[in-house]
Amino acid sequence: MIEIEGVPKPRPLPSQARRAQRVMLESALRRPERRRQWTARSVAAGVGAIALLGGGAVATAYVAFAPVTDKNSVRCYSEASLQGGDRHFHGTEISVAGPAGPERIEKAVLACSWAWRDGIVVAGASTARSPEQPLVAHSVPNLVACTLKNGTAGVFPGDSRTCARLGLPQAKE
Amino acid sequence: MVVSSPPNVPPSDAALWARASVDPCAFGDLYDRHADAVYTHCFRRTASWSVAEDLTSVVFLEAWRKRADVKLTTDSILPWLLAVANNTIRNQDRSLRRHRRLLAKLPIEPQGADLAEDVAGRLDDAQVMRDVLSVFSELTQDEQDILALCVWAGVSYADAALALGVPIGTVRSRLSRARQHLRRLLDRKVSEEGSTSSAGASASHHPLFLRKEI
Repeated sequence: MIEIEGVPKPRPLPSQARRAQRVMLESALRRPERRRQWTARSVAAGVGAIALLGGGAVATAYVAFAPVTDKNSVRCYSEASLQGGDRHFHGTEISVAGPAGPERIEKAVLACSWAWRDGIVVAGASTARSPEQPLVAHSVPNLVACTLKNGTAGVFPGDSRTCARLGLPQAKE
Repeated sequence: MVVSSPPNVPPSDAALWARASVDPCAFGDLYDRHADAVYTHCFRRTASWSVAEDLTSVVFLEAWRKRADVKLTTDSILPWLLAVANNTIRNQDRSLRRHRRLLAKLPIEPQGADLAEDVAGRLDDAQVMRDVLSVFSELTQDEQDILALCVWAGVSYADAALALGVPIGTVRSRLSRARQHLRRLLDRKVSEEGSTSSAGASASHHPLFLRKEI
């Protein structure tokens, strides 16, 4: 009989993740269950699940990508959350004025990193801040660009898992 | 139903499960007991430690959501948890979306000291697993599930039958078909590599896969 040997040995869940997950699970059990309301989610054109497993055509890892179709503005979120919806999201929207109207923002993450660096976007703040004068350089967290339902880029502090957690496709480069 | 354990004896999975509906800490204890096994299982099915980390919490959330269907085998809940994991992995995008609000509460921490030391090992693991899955994923979903459960996770035929809700004969026949299918895939892979390798390759010397008699 043939077996696939050489599968990696078991590894423990990282201790910080273990603690956080346990707290989350116990908290979830303490909440009263809500009646689930399913709503149809509109899907941006071009969304698909693409495997990210080297060169193999293997669809076992979930990552969804979608192109940013509206590059006239970028939404820089101050936290990895869609709280507030479209009108009262936590962060700021950036657009670049050019001589002929708004200029396309090709690098959403770069644009938002400037906003973080200049203190315009502050972690967790619901609104934008005015940059201090003289400018003070602030730390920039790791940022990831997701594609929002309206086709613009939403840039969140986080990593490659953030978009999936928010139910958004990652912005396709 | 009241289930209690003698003093100084850890409570059984059955006792913890019975208590979980009134004491979330009991569910937390079950999580602590089986999280590593679920995490490794999810990694082996996805070749990604970070995806496996998220899926681990989703598996336990799904297990609680489907608690009416729980099947305790030989007083262990693990075989059933791994069956839930198989289903969660099959429906990853839906599962992740369903629980995204809870997942969003989990911090994305920087690499801790316990990870920094084995990061190289984890990267190697991911590459090995991608190579394994390049063949494994050509099996049908049922074949992948049964091999991952019985071969990789070491679940017995009886426990797998109970966890999957199928007769034990079905487990045996699925496993047999899966192994035959895998044999054909491996033979094809070896012959493809042999035809492109100047040194030639034989199945018994494939660097990744070994043959052994069961």
